[in-house]
Amino acid sequence: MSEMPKTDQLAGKVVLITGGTSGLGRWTTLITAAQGATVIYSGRNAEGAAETDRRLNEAGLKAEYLPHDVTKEDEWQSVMDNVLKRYGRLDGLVNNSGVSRLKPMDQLSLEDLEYLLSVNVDGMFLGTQYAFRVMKMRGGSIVNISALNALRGSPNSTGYGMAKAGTTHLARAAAIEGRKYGIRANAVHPGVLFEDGDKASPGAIALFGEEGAQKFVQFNIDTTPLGRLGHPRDIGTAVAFLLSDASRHVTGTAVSVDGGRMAGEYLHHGIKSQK
Amino acid sequence: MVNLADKVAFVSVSDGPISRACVASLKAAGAKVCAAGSGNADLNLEVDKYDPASWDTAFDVCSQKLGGLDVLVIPTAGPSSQPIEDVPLEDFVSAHRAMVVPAFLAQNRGIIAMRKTGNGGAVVHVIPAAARSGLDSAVAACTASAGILFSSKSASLECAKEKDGIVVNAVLVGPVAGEPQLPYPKDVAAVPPQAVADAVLFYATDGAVYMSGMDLPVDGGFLAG
Repeated sequence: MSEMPKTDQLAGKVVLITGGTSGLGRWTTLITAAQGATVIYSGRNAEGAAETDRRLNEAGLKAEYLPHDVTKEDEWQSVMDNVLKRYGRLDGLVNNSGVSRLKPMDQLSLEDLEYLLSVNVDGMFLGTQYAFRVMKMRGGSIVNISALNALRGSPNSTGYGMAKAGTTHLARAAAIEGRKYGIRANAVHPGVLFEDGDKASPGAIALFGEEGAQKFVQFNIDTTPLGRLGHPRDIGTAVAFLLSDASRHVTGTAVSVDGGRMAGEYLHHGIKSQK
Repeated sequence: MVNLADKVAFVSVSDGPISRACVASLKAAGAKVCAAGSGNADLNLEVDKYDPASWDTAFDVCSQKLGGLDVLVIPTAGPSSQPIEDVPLEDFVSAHRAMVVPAFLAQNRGIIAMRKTGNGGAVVHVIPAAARSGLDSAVAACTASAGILFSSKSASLECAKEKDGIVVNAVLVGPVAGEPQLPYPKDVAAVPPQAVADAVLFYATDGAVYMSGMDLPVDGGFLAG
């Protein structure tokens, strides 16, 4: 955990992170805790929570886990009641829980669309709403984890792009409405992330096979101007900034942490193909 | 004067000033026009807007009776709401889905129908300008409008990838008299429905065949800054 320096950037803040039981949410939990926040992370996966706890312990950090399905309003009520009962306030919410399902438009069913919207839009709407009810007393910061598909079109994304554009735009609407309460709201757009450098993840291998997964990795390296893949740590650091007072004048914006993929037309064409 | 004499157009909504202006303008330009719902199109069809099979049937009937499907216009209007902290979940979901599901189905099933004809085509969404700007007390409409816009951009790329000759674009409209009113700032001028129809016609012509994935504001300057 030497890669995760401890700071006091978020000292005194109480932060709730959804989906902290895996991947990006786990890293955001670790980084937010390392920056001094009192962190509650939630999610549906108890085994994943055990792993998050193990990593926290390893780093000498603490955070509290609460079971949570973000699509269920009564569970939001319960989580928020818990947070307020234990800590008396909420300064930050990271709406991280999300799902993807990429299919060509002739194969994407209404059931697929509803699955995408229920988590990526409805779940984040509920989070925003419950955070508003608490934060309107003293302000706060809401961060929605979105996707590059929210900022530009992408094949196989007529449903996922619709959902994630909603995620991003929900933050903009919340920024407009939150201005009178001192509530800021922003969206973060990760590029392609890998935890193990340029090694294909088990998930990518399961999807594409060993060779296909490595080609997928190389394609994403080639189409990222900085020439490397992102790490969940990169996103967590940006989220921590948006939760902190250092970003007190930042609201309603979409922050891309993507190695430059949104800087040009490389996403679908590839840098090498232009040379 | 725009000439759409050899085109068949389908308008996915028949009521409201924008839809009526689009139907009238497409007809005036010479297109044969089918519309979902009652009205003055050449062919009016009842469609269950939440049922994929109903859209498939409507597009098939349109193609059979009017001779194809070249232009698909998908107008979507959105309601304002309560402040975020007060909107019941069921109201949010209901308002959101009432916008996105018909637009999603009309777009995706319509493109599949266009591909069957093999002649390419133009899909034109008409979406609230809230797709690109947050508004106060309109959380469902903002979220849904942005969703439709980016679904249209993804569709445009899928069509390009398939080389099916179909382009997908959007017109972003500001306040229009007679449409559900979103809480735009008071200094934003109302948009005449005909101005929206004129932009739709532009996208429908062969002159716009190299434009895809674009969004054109017709909004009285709202999105200018």
